Amino acid sequence: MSTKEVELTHDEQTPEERQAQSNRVLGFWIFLGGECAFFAALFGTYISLASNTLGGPSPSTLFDLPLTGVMTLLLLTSSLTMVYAFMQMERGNFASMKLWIWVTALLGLFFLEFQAYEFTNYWNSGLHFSTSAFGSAFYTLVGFHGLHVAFGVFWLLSLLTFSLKDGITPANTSKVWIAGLYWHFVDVVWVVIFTVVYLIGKVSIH
Amino acid sequence: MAAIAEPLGRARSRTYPQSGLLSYLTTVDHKKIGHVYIAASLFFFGVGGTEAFLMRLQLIRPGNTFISAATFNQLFTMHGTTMIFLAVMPFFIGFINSVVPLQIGARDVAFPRMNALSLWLFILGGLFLNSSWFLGGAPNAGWFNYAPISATAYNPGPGIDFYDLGLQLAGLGTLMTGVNFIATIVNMRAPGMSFMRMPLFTWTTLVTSVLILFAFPPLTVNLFLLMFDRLLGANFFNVTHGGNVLLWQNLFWIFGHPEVYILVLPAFGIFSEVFPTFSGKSLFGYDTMVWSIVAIGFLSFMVWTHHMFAVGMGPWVNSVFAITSMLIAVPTGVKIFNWIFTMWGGRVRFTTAQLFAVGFIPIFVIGGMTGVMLAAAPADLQFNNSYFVVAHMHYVMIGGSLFGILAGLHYWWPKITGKLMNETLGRWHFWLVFIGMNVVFMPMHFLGLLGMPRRVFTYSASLGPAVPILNQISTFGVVILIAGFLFLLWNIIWSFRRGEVAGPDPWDARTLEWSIPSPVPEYNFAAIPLVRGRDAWWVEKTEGNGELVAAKIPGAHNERGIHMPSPSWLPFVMALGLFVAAYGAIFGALPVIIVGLGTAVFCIYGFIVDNDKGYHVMPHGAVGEVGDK
Amino acid sequence: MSHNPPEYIPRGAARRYLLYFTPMVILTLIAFALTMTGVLSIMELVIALLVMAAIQFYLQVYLFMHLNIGRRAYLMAFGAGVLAALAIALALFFLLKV
Repeated sequence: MSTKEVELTHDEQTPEERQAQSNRVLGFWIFLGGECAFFAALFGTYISLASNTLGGPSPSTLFDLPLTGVMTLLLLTSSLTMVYAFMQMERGNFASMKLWIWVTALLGLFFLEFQAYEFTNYWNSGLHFSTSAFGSAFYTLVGFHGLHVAFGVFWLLSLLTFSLKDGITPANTSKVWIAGLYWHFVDVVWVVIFTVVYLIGKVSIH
Repeated sequence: MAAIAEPLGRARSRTYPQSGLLSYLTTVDHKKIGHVYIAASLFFFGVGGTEAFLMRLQLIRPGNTFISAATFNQLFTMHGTTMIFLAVMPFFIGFINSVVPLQIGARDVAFPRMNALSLWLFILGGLFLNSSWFLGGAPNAGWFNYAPISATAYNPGPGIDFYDLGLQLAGLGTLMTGVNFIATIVNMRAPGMSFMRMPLFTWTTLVTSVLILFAFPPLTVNLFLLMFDRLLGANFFNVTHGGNVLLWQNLFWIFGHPEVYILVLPAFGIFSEVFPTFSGKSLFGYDTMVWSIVAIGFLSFMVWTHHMFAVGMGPWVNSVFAITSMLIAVPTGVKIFNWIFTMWGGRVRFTTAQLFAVGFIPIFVIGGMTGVMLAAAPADLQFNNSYFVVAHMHYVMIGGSLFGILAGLHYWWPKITGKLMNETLGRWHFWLVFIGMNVVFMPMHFLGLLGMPRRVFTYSASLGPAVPILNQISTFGVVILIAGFLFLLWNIIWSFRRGEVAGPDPWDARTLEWSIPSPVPEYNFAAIPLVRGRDAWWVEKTEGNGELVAAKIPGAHNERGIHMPSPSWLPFVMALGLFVAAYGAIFGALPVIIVGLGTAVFCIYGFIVDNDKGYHVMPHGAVGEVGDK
Repeated sequence: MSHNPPEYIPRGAARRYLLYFTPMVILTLIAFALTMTGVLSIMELVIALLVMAAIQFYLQVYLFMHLNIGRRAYLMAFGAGVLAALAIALALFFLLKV
């Protein structure tokens, strides 16, 4: 089990370092509360406009559920690998931690690639941003989620390139932790998206 | 100046301007950030006031041709947008920055660099929005910018885009402030300061910050939807392609109603500081005051459709929201009584701050009563979109928000600048503003009842003989208001040149910010205080030694001095990048957008990887951190 | 200044997280299978999907993000966010449905 406790022994940290870490994690949960409100407004927009397909492409005719399923499993797995990355950091295995962060970022990139592929297919099938309110709402909601994934990948790779070169320090632990929180949150939003947009949409909006 | 004992990290290898105007660009000190917020808010208040003055001149007689209809529409849009987003809210954020960390016994906010970023996003967003006057026309669809008049089809010029992008910039900054102060208040209170020992201004800051956290994201989404409709041909509000114009209204007011409570709760907090100080008594009913703030905050999210009674949402919806809107008057009423009871039996000193606090009560109560009248949905169908609403909103916003700002300004001016203001000039300022405000806005109740609509550039004499007369009285009142604000300007200048040195506690006040020197040193507290009760400073003055007791901080080392965060260029540069990108979007210049956004992303990378350790300063006199080593 | 040591630091073996991961995958597969095979009526399907999504949400937030051992402030901040989110999304849906 966990041997070298990277922690946060009070002896080694200054009060301001302890404070900064505590602030960082608290602040991030607060920010996630605000992000819930942000996605709620997007979801509310989507569910009130999605049935306005104007006779054009609609969820039931368009959505490729197996593809969505693959994307979901990719993102879910990346959440697990992120947890592993943090566990390795906790145990002091710096190289393993970096590897797991790389895997997480890579899975995120694959997700994005599939997303781009999916959007291209739908676009070519006639669902443009300006086709109908459904088109606008779909690309906006799912697109904003994709942007969040992209930012997450950028964040993970940034962490790798620079601040972690100091090795595992108390400050870095909290930085990796909040990157993980962000990543899990983005996965949670995807759970709501695939349920409400893809699965429910496929059977109810014709 | 405190000596720099041990620069570490960045502060050692690069030089940052330590003083003077340039230091403001890189500062992460919440006090200096507060200065800039206050100065900028005063400036934007002047801009918004000028816009109002021009409107009132146009309305002095029916059929006037001083201002064209097109210009008038821009004036009322910019007056509202500027006053709300660029004058009132940032003014309070300026006080929050200057005062809240001091009130909780902290040395800084939770996220100093993000605090600076908030500031620059506000400044640059405000300048961006106002540059629209010179770059193709200001927005003209009202501060609430309803669809579909905001659509490209009906509004092809760049004005609405300036509105959209300007508010995105400024709004992003405000959202960050919300996160920052929730974290600061929850996490950085001095030992012994439980939640129920916090000053009321800190409580209102906490609830206001929560409102910001949940109200601004819907606005952000709304502005994105509009941007996509206008710039990318989306169909959110385009009914012919399946869109829904009510989507804009609902999302806007889900933001907009909490917003007006964001604008008034800090004022309530300020009054809760001013009344006790100048009555020489503790606040009456502290617990009830706290619970009513929380109740008001919670209820503020449940009333938004009262802005849409005339839209046709049906009797069920209208009834529910009418009830909730009336309900919110109850906790507010409780507070009014508690403020009065605070004064009752005390020895009241009528300083300028106290004058504004006392003046707030009748004005705000009038505004509150007309608010309840408006909440009655059937009656609102008559009042809606008339000058009655204009009267209501200005009574609550001037009586509440503006008087709160002016009370706070006169109360905390000595703490921020180290100088006193002139009480005689302050008295003239107060009375002219108080009288002027009533002369301008009382007639508007009757104008509304007589049928004069709002947001019109002129009106017909056939509305009745009273209408032009009431308009003239209202316009005349503006002159009184201007005179009142000239006295404020005179007082500010007088204070800088000839004001007495204030000392730490000129008012014999009750909260922690009055226990430290004025102006406040860089590190705030020489030693983190141990809080021993509500009204923490009063407790030390009356039951202790008249000095703060230092708290023991585990792991602190006295000899190193006090840790300070290093200044940084990142906040200003990132805001500048987004500012540039916004202009790129207005003019359709993709390379400019890319350069701007790229700069911002690069700065985000800088924030992520930054590992600066800050520097240490030795405080004057006392020892610094009191540790257990 | 806060003296709380960061309580977000989880302690656990890789196996435990795999144990949490498995139901997440299974729920996802069931959700997709139910939808694609069409064995349930629409009403039943919607309810089943929402319940499964709620369970997944709980698993992610409590077990991966460690809200279960975090400070009460984290739960309050995030919980308030979820409540506000539900209120906003549902209000928009009910007020705007065509």
